[in-house]
Amino acid sequence: MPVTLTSLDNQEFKVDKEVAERSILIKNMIEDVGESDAPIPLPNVSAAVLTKVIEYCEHHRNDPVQVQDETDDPRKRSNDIEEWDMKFMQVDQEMLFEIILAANYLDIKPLLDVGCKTVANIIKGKTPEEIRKAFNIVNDFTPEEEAQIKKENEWAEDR
Amino acid sequence: MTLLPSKSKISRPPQGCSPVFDLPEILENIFDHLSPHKRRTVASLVCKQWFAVARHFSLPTDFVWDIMATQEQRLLVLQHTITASYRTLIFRGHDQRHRDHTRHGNDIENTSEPVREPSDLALKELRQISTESSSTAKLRELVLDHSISWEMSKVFELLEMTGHALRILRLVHSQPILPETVATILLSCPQLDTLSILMPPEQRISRSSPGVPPAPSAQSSFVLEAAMKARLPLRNLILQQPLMVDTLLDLILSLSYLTQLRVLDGVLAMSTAEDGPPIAILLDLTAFLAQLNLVCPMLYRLQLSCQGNLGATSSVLLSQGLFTARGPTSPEKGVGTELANIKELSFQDTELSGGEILPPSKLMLAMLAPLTSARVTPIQGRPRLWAFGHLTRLEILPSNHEKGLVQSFQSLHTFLCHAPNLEHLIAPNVMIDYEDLDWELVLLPLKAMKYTQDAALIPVGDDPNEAFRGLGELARQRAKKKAYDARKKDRLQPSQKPSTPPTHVWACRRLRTLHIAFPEPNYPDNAARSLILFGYISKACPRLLDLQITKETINFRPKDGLCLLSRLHDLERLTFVTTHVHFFDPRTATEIQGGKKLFQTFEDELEWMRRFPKGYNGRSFATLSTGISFSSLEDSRQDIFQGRGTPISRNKGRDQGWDDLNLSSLGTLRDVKDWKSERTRDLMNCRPLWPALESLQVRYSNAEYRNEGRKLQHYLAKIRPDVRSDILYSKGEPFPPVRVA
Repeated sequence: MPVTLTSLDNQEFKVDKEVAERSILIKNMIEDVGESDAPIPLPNVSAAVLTKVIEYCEHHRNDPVQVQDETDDPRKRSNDIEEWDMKFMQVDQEMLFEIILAANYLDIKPLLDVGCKTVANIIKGKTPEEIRKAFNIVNDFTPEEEAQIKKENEWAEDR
Repeated sequence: MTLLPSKSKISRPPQGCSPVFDLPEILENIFDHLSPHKRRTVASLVCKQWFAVARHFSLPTDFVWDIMATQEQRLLVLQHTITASYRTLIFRGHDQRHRDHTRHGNDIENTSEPVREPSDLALKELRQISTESSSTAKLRELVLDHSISWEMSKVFELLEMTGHALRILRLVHSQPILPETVATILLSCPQLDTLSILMPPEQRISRSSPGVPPAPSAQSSFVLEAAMKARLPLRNLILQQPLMVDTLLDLILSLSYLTQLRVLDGVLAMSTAEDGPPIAILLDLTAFLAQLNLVCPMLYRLQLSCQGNLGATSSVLLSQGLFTARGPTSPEKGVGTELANIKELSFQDTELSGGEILPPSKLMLAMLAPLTSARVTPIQGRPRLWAFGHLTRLEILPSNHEKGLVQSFQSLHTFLCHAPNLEHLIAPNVMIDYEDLDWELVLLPLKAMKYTQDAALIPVGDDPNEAFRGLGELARQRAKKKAYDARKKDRLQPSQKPSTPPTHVWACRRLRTLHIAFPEPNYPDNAARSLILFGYISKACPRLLDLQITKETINFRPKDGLCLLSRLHDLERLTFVTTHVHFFDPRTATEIQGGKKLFQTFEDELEWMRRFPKGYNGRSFATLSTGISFSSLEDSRQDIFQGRGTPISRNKGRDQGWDDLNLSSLGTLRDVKDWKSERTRDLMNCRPLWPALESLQVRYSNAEYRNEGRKLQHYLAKIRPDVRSDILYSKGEPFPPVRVA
């Protein structure tokens, strides 16, 4: 049975229920409201972003529920991005952040993880200054504070 | 200095950056994919908000019951932990020295209690808390490490109080694990997802005493039967040195949700006959594996190993079960069809340990030989190797910490040529021959040259000039050349002849972890070998994150090819285990080639390792210094080092190796020249060198190089302050004396 989703700019998207239910938010809404033809409003997601999100959910519609492997290295490997997902995430930075925000809002954990992995990969090869430049972040540390952190880092150990 | 200590005090980041970073939970998720090192040295320095979130990671999230804490603190920890969901409780003791200190201090002594074992004290306090608290324990993870000695009966008692909701149990125990022990734990923790029982580190060596199974009691049979019928949800089972008896295998076969099974150094049970020596009871692992495949369809990670020679015998049976045909009725079936889900395979072998260079162990041959002979025995018309192409992880490990090196006789190389899905190869002391990688046959003329030099030096008879007496100078030269040629032909014995040209290239393009060893060269062509090795890895495994190479010498100058590894843009950890560390030759600092001074200081030798060259501003930069004058090579082996330039054409397609590589300059200085051009292009695109590198470690064993090691540490810290560099002297670790089998 198809479900209608309405984006921020009032565009309507008809998708299969199982695709829409990749979003825990939508799944809960459907469960709460029951069977209904009424469109589901998504006031925080624009049409362009919703198109991308639906594309992701369509592709992963048959994926099993994510189970975390307890015994693996607690540090998740940011390089473990599937080829399709990697291509899917090849968008400009603004769209990447929009997708992450939408995934967070719609509660689509696998998409959120892929987005965060992608950002982590961007961060990985950069110095703090390069990161600030890439993400337009202002350095609000005083030189003394920065020096203090660097000094602490000299003796700190990685857990 | 007061920096933001908690999330509640996080200020909004300055305007202009994405709202993504406004949400600490998203920032946490992003940082979750960074290593602690990057979080600490990079992320925490970006802005105050990032600092606060990055520091939040460093806060301890586990609860630790510590024998050194006061009684009030310990009780508080227990009180908070056991009734809270999603908590980890760690019981931690201390070594004898600390314990004595504690007894004389004001801690346990002041409790007016008799001095107890830490495990008794922990149980007593837990009982006290459990009595006071009305709610049931919801503890999620319990860790009993080796700092406290736990008798199994006490573990059972502990689990009675805390095991109800337990998902993960990690236990260190010093006795071989019995099947009924595992069964009792599983019944005490009906929701257990992961059970890990390991030996204390000091006992993780081969045991000489045989494992004699105790006489089965009615109670143990009852417990085992109950556990087998319970349909327990366990997914990960890790047992070190369990007693390998049929009941253990039956218990494992009852765990149908298993995804990971690791049985390390299993102790074979011994017969208890009165007369004669005890005999190991070999298990029918073939049948076990067949059943495992049927009852555990989700199993993807398998490790099974037994101890000692008897273990090796059993392991051969195991490998037969894994890799060979299964009876006359289904000759085409092997692991590829029957255990198709297993993607991660590892084996540990006592035979791989020793203080010298060893031949391949029985287990290793048994495991790898079927892989390499695959083309001979096709499965349903396809090469057998295809059946193993799905492996993503292969570990070949010694069973203790000794560092013998093992020859692989091409089997490992051949496997790598046919494993396109392999992501992790951890075989730190298994060697691959340089000749297997020598695609351009650079070593062939070098070998021949060495031979001919040797041959020319060897006199004929007692008097070297006897054969040429009475001849004129010209005739003498001709006769010498003729003798030289004849001897060259005779002297090339089969064992000395250069190996046949490699026919396949490694297919493992997705490899992320590579721990491997290379033999100590007997020829004075170490530079060529280094160029081959680093050039090959840099092209065949472009996605490597973690590279560990055991190699006799490591030299950081570009001429020796290490710079070629900078093609590995994702590299995070680089480790060398070696004898001789980089030697800062005083002559190189003043060496002049082509009228140009190549290196001004020792530091210049490592200059290529900077993220960006000195003076780089995104548009212009100083010429990269490689220390090589490409236009005026005066090396006598110039023709060899320049390469022949023929493109590779031996690979036929993806299935037989890959043909998308250009290895035409492999092993030659032309490869370094190519690298220089590639690096220049990278710089024009603002790409730093090894941007993700976190750790560079060199472990060397030659004490004479300690000064060089210190210098290297000093210069690396200056050149790559963003990388944790450790140049460690490690006595007796890497290259043992050569004794080729």
